[in-house]
Amino acid sequence: MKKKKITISYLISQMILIFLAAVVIYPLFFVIMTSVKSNFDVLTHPFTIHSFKPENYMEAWKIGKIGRFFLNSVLITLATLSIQMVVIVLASYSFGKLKPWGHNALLIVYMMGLFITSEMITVPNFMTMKWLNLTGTRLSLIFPYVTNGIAMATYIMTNFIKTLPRELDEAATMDGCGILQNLYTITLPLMKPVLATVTIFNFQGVWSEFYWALIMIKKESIKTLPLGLMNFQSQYNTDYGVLCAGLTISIIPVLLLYLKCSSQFIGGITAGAVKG
Amino acid sequence: MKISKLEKKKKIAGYFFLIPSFFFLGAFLLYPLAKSIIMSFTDWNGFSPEYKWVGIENYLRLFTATPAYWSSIKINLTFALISTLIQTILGFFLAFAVYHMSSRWQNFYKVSLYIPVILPASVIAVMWRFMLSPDTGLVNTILRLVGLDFLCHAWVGENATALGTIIMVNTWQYVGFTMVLYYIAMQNIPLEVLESAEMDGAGKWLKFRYFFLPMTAGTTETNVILSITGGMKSFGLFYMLTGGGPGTATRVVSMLIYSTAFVDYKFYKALTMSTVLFLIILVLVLFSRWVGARHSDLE
Repeated sequence: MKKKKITISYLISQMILIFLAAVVIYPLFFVIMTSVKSNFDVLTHPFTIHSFKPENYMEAWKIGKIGRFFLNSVLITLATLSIQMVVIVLASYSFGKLKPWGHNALLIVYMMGLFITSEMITVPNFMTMKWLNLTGTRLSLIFPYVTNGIAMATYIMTNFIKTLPRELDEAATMDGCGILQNLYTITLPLMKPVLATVTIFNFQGVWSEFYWALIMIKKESIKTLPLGLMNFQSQYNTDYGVLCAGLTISIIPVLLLYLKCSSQFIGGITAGAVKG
Repeated sequence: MKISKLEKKKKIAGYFFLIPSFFFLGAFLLYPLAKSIIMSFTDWNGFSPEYKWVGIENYLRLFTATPAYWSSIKINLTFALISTLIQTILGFFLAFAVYHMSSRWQNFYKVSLYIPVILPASVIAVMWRFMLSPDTGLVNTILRLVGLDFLCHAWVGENATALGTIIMVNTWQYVGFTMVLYYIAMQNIPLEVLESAEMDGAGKWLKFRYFFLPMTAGTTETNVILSITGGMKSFGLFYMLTGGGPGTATRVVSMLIYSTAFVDYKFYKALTMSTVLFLIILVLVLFSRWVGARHSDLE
């Protein structure tokens, strides 16, 4: 093993890293701190707390409607992720294990999703939604959102499934296990790390999507968080405490979810990335 | 070799497993893609059921009589290339520094530098607008505090600083992503190789030059491609941070396409613009891959 000695280059890189970590974390800390301050306090003492005004959160949640936007986003994200996971697991299992004739060519078709820009498909999708009479509804967001996550996730998950030992499911098929049952009882429990990675990736995609929502949703009551934040910002442009309370509400759940799965998540990227 | 009955059953079942995903991809990705390309050769306005075939007229007009599009493309290219350069270099050196830390520090930096990556662009935009506001913003307050008043700017409101500011915010958000990808690649460099090089007396610089740089070349390619495509497609950050302003100084292509289609209702024009953008991105990706492949041949 390497001996631990503190060199000058170690100190310098440690200092630079600490500084950069501070540049990343401090703004978040600053927003959270400002969220419980009165406006006067924000203007007179930007770096310290001399007031405590938790009412900012009530104001942001109720009058600023952040609560509404937040719940809308939760609903849409949950619906999208649950459909997506079933669809993606089935597809990856097919590509990784069942391998129907022509699966390599088919996988390339799936991969096209990685290169298509959203502008390319927005206009026809807009027309499809009009034709289905879905414009301005939650469903009009959910269908394209499910689609957006398929390419990347199927790619990562297929690579992962290919690395699983074959012997396991061969033994199981001998026992007369059906294919679906096989997937559910044998493969799925082994897929936890990659499921965590794909969940976070797709969660991020849906939770922050802005372009399509901006085009589809005009009604205030079903706006998602990214869309709602835009109104919120113009409404509370100079009411810094409330503005930051709204931001904190949007940041905290994602942050907690991330910190909870961070170790599994980064492990999962590795698993997907190594086997290319 | 004859495949067993069981294998055959599995292969047929494979198609059924693909049906749900193919339904979504077909209806909301492949069909609209084909339709976009076909309709860009017509004068379709998006609403009337009638349209006529105009051949390559839309493309000719885009290339000869739509300077707004090309100035937007230029903004995108500037943004994508500068962001990619800063992000890749900074990300690499961060990963290199983190790699040499103890495992506890490694975890701390990995997790903390990745936090902004998971936040929505809209949250980032609103947050930075607040921190960059000319009079009360955190950035200018700090500059005044340390006596650098002359560096204070209206950041997103000035022609000279708007694009640079967005590049900084974008780097702030994504450098953690680049770093984590490089970090993973460095972790995959076999320890024995590094150790035997060390035995032979290779210092940090030599290890850096002959192991870390070439053995992460694949990751460099991935990072460059992801960052360039991301930069060419960027919308939310621009829309919410500057709204394309001041004037049209930061009006990226996706904003132009958005307003052409959904404000002016010139769908055929928007479809032509997005098809050309798609081709430009494709060329950039292929070019990066080509450079990447050439580079790995040389090693």
